[in-house]
Amino acid sequence: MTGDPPNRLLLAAEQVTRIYRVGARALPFTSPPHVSAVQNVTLMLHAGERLGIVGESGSGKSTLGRLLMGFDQPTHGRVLYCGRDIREFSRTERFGFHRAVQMVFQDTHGALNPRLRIFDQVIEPLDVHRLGTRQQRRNRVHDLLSKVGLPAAIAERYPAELSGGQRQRVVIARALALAPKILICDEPTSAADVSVQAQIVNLLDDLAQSERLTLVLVSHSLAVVRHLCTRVAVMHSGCIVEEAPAEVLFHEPLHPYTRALLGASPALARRRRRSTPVQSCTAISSPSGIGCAYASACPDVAELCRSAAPNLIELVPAHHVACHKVTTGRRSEKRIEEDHAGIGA
Amino acid sequence: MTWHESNLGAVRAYEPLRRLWARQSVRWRATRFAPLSALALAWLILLLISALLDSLLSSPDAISMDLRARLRPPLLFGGNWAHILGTDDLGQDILARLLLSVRTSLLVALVGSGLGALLGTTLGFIAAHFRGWIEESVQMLVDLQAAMPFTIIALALLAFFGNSFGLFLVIMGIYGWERYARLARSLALSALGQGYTLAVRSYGAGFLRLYGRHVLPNVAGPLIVNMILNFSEVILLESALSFLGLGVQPPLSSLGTMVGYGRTYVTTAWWIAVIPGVVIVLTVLSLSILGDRMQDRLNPANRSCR
Repeated sequence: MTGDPPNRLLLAAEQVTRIYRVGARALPFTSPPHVSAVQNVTLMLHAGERLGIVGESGSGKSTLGRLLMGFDQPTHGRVLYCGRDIREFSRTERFGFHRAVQMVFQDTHGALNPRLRIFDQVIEPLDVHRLGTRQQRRNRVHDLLSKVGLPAAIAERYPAELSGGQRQRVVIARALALAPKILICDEPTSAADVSVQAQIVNLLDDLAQSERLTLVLVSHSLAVVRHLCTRVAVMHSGCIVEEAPAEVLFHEPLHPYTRALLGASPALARRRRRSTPVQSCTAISSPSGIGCAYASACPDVAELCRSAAPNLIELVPAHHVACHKVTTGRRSEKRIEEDHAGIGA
Repeated sequence: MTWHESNLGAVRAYEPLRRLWARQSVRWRATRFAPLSALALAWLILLLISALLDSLLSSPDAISMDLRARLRPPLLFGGNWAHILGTDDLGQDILARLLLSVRTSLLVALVGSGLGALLGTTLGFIAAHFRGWIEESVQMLVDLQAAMPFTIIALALLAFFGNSFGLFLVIMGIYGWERYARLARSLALSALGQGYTLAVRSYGAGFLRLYGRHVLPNVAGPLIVNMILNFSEVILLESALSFLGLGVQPPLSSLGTMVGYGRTYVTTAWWIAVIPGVVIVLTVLSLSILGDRMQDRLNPANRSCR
């Protein structure tokens, strides 16, 4: 597990689209109403990286997480693990994939089986994968519990007897049982109160370092993402609208949606920014399906935005953005620069 | 001493009593057992014990014919201690036959509802797990089954294939499967939306582990209730078919056979038909009462503490 050189491409989504049917068709032979929860998303995850996926509710970030885990199949496009399509895995390859990629679920969604003791739940992945002897597995469970900062006595308890923070730790311990390379965390902190949130965030931070984890953090909390992640992708209506190293994104957001999102997040001891309220757009595809999904809420919308969807373009190295305004602006700047250079020469 | 203080004294004196009462009432509430369900349970236990101890309680010659003692009424209706529940037209002791019949009926109902539960629950889980065309076809089978009166199907099968105890058991087992399937499917679907089943799938656990260890224990409550209610329906169906002469065949006898047999004597010797009939009614009633009670207890909304 430590054999991976850093920056090796581990997991990739290639032009992934996931369309859900919502409701029955109105008339026979017409196409039923549908929602593209994820639309043409391309995303790379390199070893050692910590990728944050942020967006409002309904932006498709959780669906993207599920697609990366293989819980859900993309309608178009594919998800690659180490260069192989995860749908084409053989049984043994799939087992290997399960060992390498684990998910931390939100505790409020019943992430622990209420009828099983903590010990039985944490040891189960080891049982399924038949790792080590019974005694080794037993020891491993106690190791894992202490790693996430839980006393060994908790192993004998049932989930209902634990606090929310403890349960979330158990969920993390279970996800770590198979020593995965990649940990996909779906809103790991959204249900916890602030102090527990901080504990969990710090725990994930420590674990990512000590276990050499590659982290994917799906969250609507910008603070958590800012604290944990090295790279951030912002999702809106199923599309990635901006993707950049965390520092860059939080200091120089380019996309108007990102700017609105950052402006809307509450912060203490910061100068009050001009905050435009974020107009919520659920992922229901516009009737025409053309144009930028943010066009109806964008403060600097142009004619082009309503007629053509912008592509995700790498403007500056490692900084991608999908906005006509920004790209055309930059292009024209660039052209001017080139012109100047031409004149100079 | 003011009125308040004197009153306070009384309150103080009362306090331990009040606490005791509160604790008692909580305990009483927690373990409260309605007298009706206690009676129902007692009846079923009695039935079960007598069915199990049947061979001890009555020797084989107890059902031997005694033509000199034909059509004796039960004890309180002019009979004697030799035949507490009277005798039938061949002079067989009704009590001894009743014990034998109860055993057959319970066995049929137990195997029947067990088979139905197994078949229906498995199909329901399969439908929920694989979705797509598999789910559609299971649903279609369920609807088909629900749309046809089962007694007619059972009659047709028995008439077509001829009567054998094995076939009869299988038919009893098929009875009610569609309700298990429906229930199990919807329960499994809701369980599959929970994080723990996703987690179990995320480390690659198989179908058996997922459904046997994680889904089933969490959704067992409603299935058990359905099984109890189904149990009584199987007894009724068995009785009905046996009454019509298509169920359990002699020399085996069941409660339904006894009722059917006694039908011809109902004006002259009512006890031959009425006594097994009463047993059927009491058993089905007891099972229904217990099933309802289980439903109430297992409903999380009614559960005060666990």
